[in-house]
Amino acid sequence: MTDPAWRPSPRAKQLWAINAALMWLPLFLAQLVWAVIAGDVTTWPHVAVFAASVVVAAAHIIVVPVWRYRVHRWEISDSAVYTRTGWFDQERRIAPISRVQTVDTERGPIDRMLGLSTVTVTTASSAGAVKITALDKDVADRTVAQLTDIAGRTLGDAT
Amino acid sequence: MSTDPELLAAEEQQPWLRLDKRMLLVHPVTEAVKVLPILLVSFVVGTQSGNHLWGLGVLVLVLVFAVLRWFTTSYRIGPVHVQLRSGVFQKKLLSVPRSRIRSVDIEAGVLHRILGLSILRIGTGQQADQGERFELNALDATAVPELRELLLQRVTRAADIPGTPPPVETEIAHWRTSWVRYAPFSFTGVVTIAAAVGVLFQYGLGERLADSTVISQGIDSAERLGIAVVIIFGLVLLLIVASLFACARYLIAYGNLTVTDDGTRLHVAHGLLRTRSTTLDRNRLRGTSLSEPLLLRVAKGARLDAIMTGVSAEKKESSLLLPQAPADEARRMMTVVLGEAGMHADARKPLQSHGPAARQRRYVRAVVPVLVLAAGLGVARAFGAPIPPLVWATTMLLLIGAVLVGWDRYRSLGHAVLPGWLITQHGSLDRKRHSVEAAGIIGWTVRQTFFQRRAGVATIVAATPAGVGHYEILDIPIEQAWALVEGVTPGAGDIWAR
Repeated sequence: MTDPAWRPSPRAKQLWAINAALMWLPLFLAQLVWAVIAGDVTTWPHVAVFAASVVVAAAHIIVVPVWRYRVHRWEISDSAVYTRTGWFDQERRIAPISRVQTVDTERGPIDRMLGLSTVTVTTASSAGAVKITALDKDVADRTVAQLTDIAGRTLGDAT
Repeated sequence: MSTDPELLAAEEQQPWLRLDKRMLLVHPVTEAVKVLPILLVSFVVGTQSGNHLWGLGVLVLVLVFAVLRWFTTSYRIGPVHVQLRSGVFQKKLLSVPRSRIRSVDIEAGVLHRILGLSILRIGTGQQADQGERFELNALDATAVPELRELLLQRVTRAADIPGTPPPVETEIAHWRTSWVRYAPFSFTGVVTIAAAVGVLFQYGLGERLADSTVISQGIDSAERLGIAVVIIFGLVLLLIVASLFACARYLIAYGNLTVTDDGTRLHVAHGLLRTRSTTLDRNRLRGTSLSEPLLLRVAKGARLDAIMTGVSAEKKESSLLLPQAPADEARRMMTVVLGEAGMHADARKPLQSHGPAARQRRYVRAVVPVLVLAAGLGVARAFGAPIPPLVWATTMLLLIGAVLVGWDRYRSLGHAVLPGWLITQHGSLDRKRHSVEAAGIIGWTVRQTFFQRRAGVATIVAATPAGVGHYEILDIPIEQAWALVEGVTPGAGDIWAR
């Protein structure tokens, strides 16, 4: 089995980095509050926790998006959707378009800022939904049009 | 879906029907039971204040509400929809297109059976909360089977051609009282008792028990006897009581179970006090799940469920074919059901094992948590925490148990590809063998964690709208993964298969 051919948008790395940074922000704020309340910042619990979270956060914000971008792939043929996702744990998912029930796009505030879009293809099984993350908006729109067109031509109740 | 305006007009003309009049007797009882705490409180308040009107007033309110419920509930079964109007204060109209009906279940509690009534429940395979369920509670028991047949007709049978003989029902499984011996080999009994004890302690029973003289004398003598003996005695007692509970539960729930087959549907009926009858449509049958939890397997028992589309095992909907029963009987039943569903090969075929990497992973995954625990204890000891020898002994026992579980998990792990079918089996404490029809599989996932990539294995997930929705093949060598997918559903790899 070959891998799917297409990569997500190059801006996907920024998207994942920003999302990770936003997740870490409250944690650092909490540490700051803790340090201010406790008064003495230089004692070892503060320094140790801060150092540990800086290392983990740096890995999450810098390394993980690059790693993820190297893994993420997607492709659509005339009859199937195929994706490869993940970083530490990776998965390849394939679903025939004849079994597709709905095709949606999803755009969070950060996605909109970067001009990105996520396409979700659902099937009758909750375990079979295929998510194509961080596509350029026009690519995503074209993909949705193409998928709905193919899905509309196939018959059956998709179960 | 096209709806004929004439049919819709005819539907509007149909009269609304009431539930059976005998429900005027049942509703007050069920409503009174529902508000039992309030009733008790009001009676207590009434006797203490010397004014019995308190309790009486509440009782009258309940009775009026119950009667109103009967008057406000009505239903009609039209050519296009089935509709249910209900609600005393908040009116509700539930309308289900007849083409969406997936299952019709019949249930009857003790009171219903005495009065000759049955509850009819319509399932659409959609998520339904308690309030949104289409439930006719209740109708005359003699009319219900006919109504069920009418409702299911479009679902399972093509329009009746005059002259075709009526379907012949054959019995494919019949319950025996001796099967009750498998009931204790599940954890439900222990769980029931634990819940009961928990509730009792909530009401302060524990303190009263500890205060009573019998118990305090018992504790004194226990201290003389040694705590170990008391613990063992307690455990044995718990086991006996739990077993009795499990047997009683099993008898009441599954007594008189029969499974019949009329060519298009399987009927499963069971229950000693509260009877339940479910219909499993053959067109929606996508396979079976054979459960052999460790305890039950030791006793040579097994349980069989159907994998159905529109009947979600995730939402705890019943697709039972056989409760805890002799393993031979369960396997025979599995072969019968799968054979009729179109499996033209031996459903009991020995499975293909997954190789040394999978075996190593089974042992590692079972043993490592115990080793981590032991290491934690070691560190605690190094820091000066006193660890009693009993804890070390327990850890050793856990380690031996983990190795045995790892061994059993590898022994149980396997898969088989039959023409048009996928069989997968895994687990030890809760071993399950799923046989899934390839036509029901609508997508594939090949998943590899970091450690799985290093070991060169993968987990395959077959997605399906039926049953629990996903069926896994654990730790299959990665080079076989896509070959298996292609073997089960040819063409699934599409243009990427090479």
